[in-house]
Amino acid sequence: MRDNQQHNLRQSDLAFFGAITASVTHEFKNCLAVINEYSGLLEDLLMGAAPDDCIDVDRIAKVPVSISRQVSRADQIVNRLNQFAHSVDQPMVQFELNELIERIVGLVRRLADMQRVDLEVNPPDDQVSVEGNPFLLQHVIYGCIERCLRHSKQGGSITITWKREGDGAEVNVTGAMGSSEAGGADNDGLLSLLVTELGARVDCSPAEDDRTATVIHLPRSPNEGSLHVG
Amino acid sequence: MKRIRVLLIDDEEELVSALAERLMLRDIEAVGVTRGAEGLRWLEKEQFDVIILDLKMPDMSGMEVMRRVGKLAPEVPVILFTGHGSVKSSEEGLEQGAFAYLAKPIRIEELVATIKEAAAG
Repeated sequence: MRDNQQHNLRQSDLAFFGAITASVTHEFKNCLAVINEYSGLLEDLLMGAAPDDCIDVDRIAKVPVSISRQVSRADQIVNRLNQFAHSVDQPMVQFELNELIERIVGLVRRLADMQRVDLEVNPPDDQVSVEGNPFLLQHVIYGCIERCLRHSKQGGSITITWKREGDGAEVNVTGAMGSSEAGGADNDGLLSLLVTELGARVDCSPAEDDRTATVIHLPRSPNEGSLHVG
Repeated sequence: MKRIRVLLIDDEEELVSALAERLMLRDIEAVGVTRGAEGLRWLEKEQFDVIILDLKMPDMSGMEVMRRVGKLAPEVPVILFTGHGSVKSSEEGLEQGAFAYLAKPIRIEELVATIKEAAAG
Protein backbone atom coordinates (compact mmCIF):
# COMPACT_ATOMS: atom_id res chain seq x y z
CA MET A 1 0.00 0.00 0.00
CA ARG A 2 1.38 3.43 -0.95
CA ASP A 3 2.37 5.99 1.70
CA ASN A 4 -0.49 8.37 0.91
CA GLN A 5 -2.98 5.49 1.05
CA GLN A 6 -1.59 4.49 4.46
CA HIS A 7 -1.91 8.11 5.56
CA ASN A 8 -5.53 8.27 4.33
CA LEU A 9 -6.30 5.01 6.08
CA ARG A 10 -4.90 6.20 9.40
CA GLN A 11 -6.78 9.50 9.09
CA SER A 12 -9.94 7.54 8.39
CA ASP A 13 -9.32 5.33 11.45
CA LEU A 14 -8.96 8.45 13.60
CA ALA A 15 -12.10 10.00 12.13
CA PHE A 16 -13.99 6.77 12.86
CA PHE A 17 -12.73 6.70 16.44
CA GLY A 18 -13.67 10.37 16.84
CA ALA A 19 -17.16 9.93 15.40
CA ILE A 20 -17.91 7.01 17.72
CA THR A 21 -16.52 8.79 20.79
CA ALA A 22 -18.43 12.01 20.02
CA SER A 23 -21.74 10.18 19.59
CA VAL A 24 -21.28 8.03 22.69
CA THR A 25 -20.20 10.89 24.94
CA HIS A 26 -23.19 12.93 23.78
CA GLU A 27 -25.50 10.09 24.76
CA PHE A 28 -23.68 9.69 28.08
CA LYS A 29 -24.17 13.39 28.80
CA ASN A 30 -27.90 12.94 28.23
CA CYS A 31 -27.91 10.24 30.94
CA LEU A 32 -26.11 12.61 33.31
CA ALA A 33 -28.61 15.36 32.49
CA VAL A 34 -31.56 13.09 33.37
CA ILE A 35 -29.87 11.93 36.60
CA ASN A 36 -29.15 15.58 37.43
CA GLU A 37 -32.80 16.55 36.98
CA TYR A 38 -34.18 13.63 38.95
CA SER A 39 -31.81 14.13 41.86
CA GLY A 40 -32.71 17.82 41.78
CA LEU A 41 -36.40 16.91 41.75
CA LEU A 42 -35.88 14.68 44.79
CA GLU A 43 -34.27 17.60 46.58
CA ASP A 44 -37.10 19.92 45.49
CA LEU A 45 -39.80 17.53 46.73
CA LEU A 46 -38.12 16.84 50.07
CA MET A 47 -36.61 20.22 50.92
CA GLY A 48 -39.48 22.25 49.50
CA ALA A 49 -42.04 20.66 51.77
CA ALA A 50 -42.94 22.70 54.88
CA PRO A 51 -42.50 20.88 58.25
CA ASP A 52 -46.21 20.04 58.54
CA ASP A 53 -46.70 19.12 54.87
CA CYS A 54 -47.43 15.55 53.87
CA ILE A 55 -44.75 14.26 51.57
CA ASP A 56 -45.99 12.43 48.45
CA VAL A 57 -44.15 9.19 49.15
CA ASP A 58 -45.41 7.49 45.99
CA ARG A 59 -44.12 10.33 43.85
CA ILE A 60 -40.78 10.38 45.60
CA ALA A 61 -40.41 6.59 45.40
CA LYS A 62 -40.47 6.74 41.60
CA VAL A 63 -37.44 9.03 41.43
CA PRO A 64 -34.72 6.56 42.56
CA VAL A 65 -36.15 4.03 40.08
CA SER A 66 -35.67 6.51 37.24
CA ILE A 67 -32.19 7.39 38.45
CA SER A 68 -31.26 3.72 38.64
CA ARG A 69 -32.51 3.16 35.10
CA GLN A 70 -30.32 5.98 33.79
CA VAL A 71 -27.30 4.69 35.72
CA SER A 72 -27.77 1.28 34.05
CA ARG A 73 -28.07 2.96 30.67
CA ALA A 74 -24.91 5.02 31.29
CA ASP A 75 -23.05 1.92 32.48
CA GLN A 76 -23.96 0.06 29.30
CA ILE A 77 -22.81 3.01 27.18
CA VAL A 78 -19.46 3.23 28.96
CA ASN A 79 -18.89 -0.55 28.81
CA ARG A 80 -19.46 -0.50 25.08
CA LEU A 81 -17.09 2.41 24.59
CA ASN A 82 -14.48 0.73 26.77
CA GLN A 83 -14.66 -2.48 24.72
CA PHE A 84 -14.43 -0.43 21.54
CA ALA A 85 -11.35 1.40 22.86
CA HIS A 86 -9.70 -1.91 23.74
CA SER A 87 -10.32 -3.29 20.25
CA VAL A 88 -7.14 -1.49 19.17
CA ASP A 89 -5.01 -3.30 21.77
CA GLN A 90 -3.99 -6.15 19.49
CA PRO A 91 -3.96 -6.17 15.67
CA MET A 92 -4.36 -9.96 15.51
CA VAL A 93 -6.59 -11.69 18.03
CA GLN A 94 -9.40 -14.28 18.21
CA PHE A 95 -12.81 -12.74 18.88
CA GLU A 96 -16.52 -13.50 18.63
CA LEU A 97 -18.11 -11.94 15.57
CA ASN A 98 -21.51 -11.88 17.33
CA GLU A 99 -20.16 -9.74 20.18
CA LEU A 100 -18.23 -7.40 17.85
CA ILE A 101 -21.21 -6.73 15.58
CA GLU A 102 -23.62 -6.22 18.51
CA ARG A 103 -21.10 -3.76 19.95
CA ILE A 104 -20.58 -1.68 16.80
CA VAL A 105 -24.33 -1.62 16.17
CA GLY A 106 -24.92 -0.49 19.77
CA LEU A 107 -22.37 2.28 19.26
CA VAL A 108 -23.91 3.58 16.02
CA ARG A 109 -27.57 3.01 16.89
CA ARG A 110 -27.93 6.58 18.11
CA LEU A 111 -26.76 7.89 14.71
CA ALA A 112 -29.42 5.76 13.00
CA ASP A 113 -32.08 6.83 15.53
CA MET A 114 -31.29 10.50 14.87
CA GLN A 115 -32.15 9.89 11.21
CA ARG A 116 -35.20 7.78 12.13
CA VAL A 117 -33.64 4.79 10.34
CA ASP A 118 -34.25 1.37 11.86
CA LEU A 119 -31.05 -0.63 12.47
CA GLU A 120 -31.98 -4.31 12.57
CA VAL A 121 -29.63 -7.06 13.64
CA ASN A 122 -30.34 -10.75 12.90
CA PRO A 123 -27.66 -12.89 14.56
CA PRO A 124 -27.11 -16.55 13.63
CA ASP A 125 -28.03 -19.31 16.11
CA ASP A 126 -24.40 -20.20 16.81
CA GLN A 127 -21.34 -18.14 17.73
CA VAL A 128 -18.97 -17.31 14.89
CA SER A 129 -15.40 -16.95 16.10
CA VAL A 130 -12.82 -15.19 13.90
CA GLU A 131 -9.15 -14.27 14.21
CA GLY A 132 -7.95 -10.93 12.97
CA ASN A 133 -8.05 -7.20 13.57
CA PRO A 134 -11.27 -6.35 15.46
CA PHE A 135 -10.84 -2.58 15.18
CA LEU A 136 -10.48 -2.76 11.39
CA LEU A 137 -13.52 -5.00 11.04
CA GLN A 138 -15.58 -2.60 13.19
CA HIS A 139 -14.38 0.23 10.95
CA VAL A 140 -15.43 -1.63 7.79
CA ILE A 141 -18.89 -2.45 9.20
CA TYR A 142 -19.28 1.15 10.38
CA GLY A 143 -18.29 2.33 6.88
CA CYS A 144 -21.01 0.15 5.32
CA ILE A 145 -23.65 1.35 7.82
CA GLU A 146 -22.60 4.97 7.39
CA ARG A 147 -22.87 4.67 3.58
CA CYS A 148 -26.43 3.32 3.97
CA LEU A 149 -27.34 6.09 6.42
CA ARG A 150 -26.20 8.73 3.93
CA HIS A 151 -28.72 7.43 1.41
CA SER A 152 -31.53 6.37 3.75
CA LYS A 153 -34.75 8.32 4.14
CA GLN A 154 -36.61 8.65 7.45
CA GLY A 155 -38.47 5.41 8.10
CA GLY A 156 -35.90 3.39 6.14
CA SER A 157 -34.04 0.40 7.50
CA ILE A 158 -30.58 -1.19 7.55
CA THR A 159 -30.32 -4.92 8.24
CA ILE A 160 -27.17 -6.68 9.43
CA THR A 161 -26.75 -10.44 9.34
CA TRP A 162 -23.73 -12.72 9.54
CA LYS A 163 -22.91 -16.41 9.29
CA ARG A 164 -20.22 -18.94 8.52
CA GLU A 165 -19.39 -19.11 4.83
CA GLY A 166 -17.50 -22.27 3.98
CA ASP A 167 -14.35 -22.08 6.10
CA GLY A 168 -14.71 -18.30 6.42
CA ALA A 169 -17.47 -15.95 7.51
CA GLU A 170 -19.74 -13.46 5.82
CA VAL A 171 -21.23 -10.19 7.12
CA ASN A 172 -24.14 -8.70 5.20
CA VAL A 173 -25.14 -5.02 5.57
CA THR A 174 -28.31 -4.30 3.58
CA GLY A 175 -29.64 -0.79 3.17
CA ALA A 176 -30.17 2.13 0.80
CA MET A 177 -27.23 3.14 -1.35
CA GLY A 178 -26.37 5.59 -4.13
CA SER A 179 -26.59 4.11 -7.61
CA SER A 180 -22.83 4.15 -8.22
CA GLU A 181 -22.05 2.61 -4.84
CA ALA A 182 -24.76 -0.02 -5.38
CA GLY A 183 -22.91 -0.90 -8.57
CA GLY A 184 -19.79 -1.52 -6.50
CA ALA A 185 -18.07 1.86 -6.76
CA ASP A 186 -16.30 3.10 -3.64
CA ASN A 187 -16.53 6.79 -4.18
CA ASP A 188 -13.91 7.90 -1.69
CA GLY A 189 -11.74 4.77 -1.97
CA LEU A 190 -11.48 4.37 1.78
CA LEU A 191 -13.77 1.38 2.19
CA SER A 192 -11.70 -0.51 -0.41
CA LEU A 193 -8.49 0.34 1.42
CA LEU A 194 -9.94 -0.83 4.72
CA VAL A 195 -11.19 -4.08 3.22
CA THR A 196 -7.77 -4.72 1.64
CA GLU A 197 -6.00 -4.03 4.92
CA LEU A 198 -8.44 -6.42 6.62
CA GLY A 199 -7.64 -9.13 4.08
CA ALA A 200 -11.32 -9.42 3.19
CA ARG A 201 -13.38 -9.04 0.01
CA VAL A 202 -16.59 -7.05 -0.54
CA ASP A 203 -19.32 -7.29 -3.14
CA CYS A 204 -22.66 -5.53 -3.64
CA SER A 205 -25.90 -6.89 -5.04
CA PRO A 206 -29.53 -5.72 -5.22
CA ALA A 207 -31.78 -6.62 -2.28
CA GLU A 208 -35.48 -6.27 -1.48
CA ASP A 209 -37.21 -2.89 -1.13
CA ASP A 210 -34.76 -1.13 -3.48
CA ARG A 211 -31.92 -1.70 -1.03
CA THR A 212 -28.42 -3.02 -1.71
CA ALA A 213 -26.67 -5.84 0.11
CA THR A 214 -23.00 -5.20 0.85
CA VAL A 215 -21.39 -8.52 1.72
CA ILE A 216 -18.03 -8.65 3.50
CA HIS A 217 -16.33 -11.99 2.91
CA LEU A 218 -13.89 -12.80 5.67
CA PRO A 219 -11.09 -15.26 4.83
CA ARG A 220 -10.30 -18.48 6.63
CA SER A 221 -6.71 -18.04 7.63
CA PRO A 222 -4.05 -15.35 8.13
CA ASN A 223 -2.37 -16.63 4.97
CA GLU A 224 -5.41 -15.58 2.99
CA GLY A 225 -5.50 -12.18 4.63
CA SER A 226 -5.67 -10.61 8.07
CA LEU A 227 -8.60 -12.72 9.28
CA HIS A 228 -8.87 -16.35 10.32
CA VAL A 229 -12.15 -17.99 11.18
CA GLY A 230 -12.27 -20.54 13.98
CA MET B 1 -49.12 37.91 38.53
CA LYS B 2 -49.30 35.83 35.36
CA ARG B 3 -47.08 32.75 35.41
CA ILE B 4 -44.37 32.43 32.80
CA ARG B 5 -45.30 29.75 30.28
CA VAL B 6 -42.52 27.63 28.78
CA LEU B 7 -42.50 25.13 25.91
CA LEU B 8 -39.82 22.51 26.53
CA ILE B 9 -38.64 20.46 23.52
CA ASP B 10 -36.12 17.63 24.08
CA ASP B 11 -36.08 14.04 22.79
CA GLU B 12 -35.15 12.68 26.25
CA GLU B 13 -38.59 11.94 27.67
CA GLU B 14 -37.47 11.54 31.29
CA LEU B 15 -35.50 14.79 31.13
CA VAL B 16 -38.55 16.64 29.84
CA SER B 17 -40.76 15.11 32.53
CA ALA B 18 -38.42 15.86 35.46
CA LEU B 19 -37.50 19.34 34.27
CA ALA B 20 -41.13 20.31 33.62
CA GLU B 21 -42.00 19.22 37.15
CA ARG B 22 -39.10 21.20 38.65
CA LEU B 23 -40.14 24.31 36.75
CA MET B 24 -43.75 23.89 37.94
CA LEU B 25 -42.46 23.75 41.54
CA ARG B 26 -40.84 27.14 40.82
CA ASP B 27 -44.13 28.56 39.57
CA ILE B 28 -43.20 28.35 35.90
CA GLU B 29 -45.79 26.57 33.78
CA ALA B 30 -44.05 24.07 31.50
CA VAL B 31 -45.37 22.04 28.58
CA GLY B 32 -42.91 19.30 27.61
CA VAL B 33 -42.71 17.48 24.26
CA THR B 34 -40.15 15.09 22.77
CA ARG B 35 -40.32 15.98 19.08
CA GLY B 36 -39.68 19.22 17.22
CA ALA B 37 -42.76 18.75 15.01
CA GLU B 38 -44.95 18.28 18.08
CA GLY B 39 -43.50 21.43 19.62
CA LEU B 40 -44.34 23.42 16.52
CA ARG B 41 -47.93 22.11 16.62
CA TRP B 42 -48.23 23.34 20.22
CA LEU B 43 -46.83 26.71 19.18
CA GLU B 44 -49.46 27.03 16.44
CA LYS B 45 -52.34 26.71 18.88
CA GLU B 46 -51.06 28.09 22.20
CA GLN B 47 -49.10 31.06 23.54
CA PHE B 48 -45.75 30.62 25.18
CA ASP B 49 -43.38 33.14 26.72
CA VAL B 50 -40.17 31.15 26.23
CA ILE B 51 -39.08 28.03 24.32
CA ILE B 52 -36.38 25.71 25.66
CA LEU B 53 -35.01 23.65 22.82
CA ASP B 54 -32.53 20.76 22.54
CA LEU B 55 -30.11 21.10 19.63
CA LYS B 56 -29.90 17.42 18.68
CA MET B 57 -33.20 15.66 18.05
CA PRO B 58 -34.14 12.80 15.72
CA ASP B 59 -37.03 14.15 13.68
CA MET B 60 -35.90 17.74 13.21
CA SER B 61 -32.71 19.42 14.40
CA GLY B 62 -32.94 22.15 17.02
CA MET B 63 -31.66 24.66 14.45
CA GLU B 64 -34.44 23.73 12.03
CA VAL B 65 -37.04 24.05 14.78
CA MET B 66 -35.60 27.43 15.69
CA ARG B 67 -35.84 28.60 12.07
CA ARG B 68 -39.50 27.61 11.97
CA VAL B 69 -40.19 29.24 15.34
CA GLY B 70 -38.66 32.39 13.88
CA LYS B 71 -41.41 32.40 11.23
CA LEU B 72 -44.26 31.13 13.41
CA ALA B 73 -43.65 33.11 16.61
CA PRO B 74 -40.66 35.43 16.14
CA GLU B 75 -41.41 37.27 19.37
CA VAL B 76 -40.85 34.14 21.51
CA PRO B 77 -37.25 33.86 22.77
CA VAL B 78 -35.50 30.50 22.41
CA ILE B 79 -33.06 29.08 24.95
CA LEU B 80 -30.91 26.35 23.40
CA PHE B 81 -29.96 23.25 25.35
CA THR B 82 -27.39 20.69 24.40
CA GLY B 83 -25.07 17.96 25.57
CA HIS B 84 -22.52 19.12 23.02
CA GLY B 85 -20.81 21.78 25.03
CA SER B 86 -18.87 22.87 21.97
CA VAL B 87 -18.11 26.55 21.43
CA LYS B 88 -18.95 26.19 17.75
CA SER B 89 -22.49 24.93 18.33
CA SER B 90 -23.15 27.66 20.90
CA GLU B 91 -21.90 30.37 18.54
CA GLU B 92 -24.00 29.02 15.70
CA GLY B 93 -27.09 28.94 17.89
CA LEU B 94 -26.62 32.51 19.06
CA GLU B 95 -25.95 33.67 15.48
CA GLN B 96 -29.23 32.03 14.45
CA GLY B 97 -31.02 34.19 17.01
CA ALA B 98 -31.17 32.09 20.18
CA PHE B 99 -31.58 34.13 23.35
CA ALA B 100 -29.13 31.97 25.28
CA TYR B 101 -27.30 28.65 25.18
CA LEU B 102 -27.04 26.27 28.14
CA ALA B 103 -24.98 23.07 28.30
CA LYS B 104 -26.39 19.94 29.92
CA PRO B 105 -26.49 18.99 32.71
CA ILE B 106 -27.96 22.36 33.62
CA ARG B 107 -28.13 24.17 36.95
CA ILE B 108 -31.82 24.81 37.65
CA GLU B 109 -31.12 28.23 39.18
CA GLU B 110 -29.27 29.30 36.02
CA LEU B 111 -32.10 28.02 33.83
CA VAL B 112 -34.80 29.79 35.87
CA ALA B 113 -32.84 33.05 35.83
CA THR B 114 -32.38 32.77 32.05
CA ILE B 115 -36.09 32.00 31.54
CA LYS B 116 -37.11 35.05 33.59
CA GLU B 117 -34.64 37.26 31.73
CA ALA B 118 -35.91 35.99 28.36
CA ALA B 119 -39.57 36.44 29.34
CA ALA B 120 -38.95 39.98 30.58
CA GLY B 121 -37.24 40.98 27.35
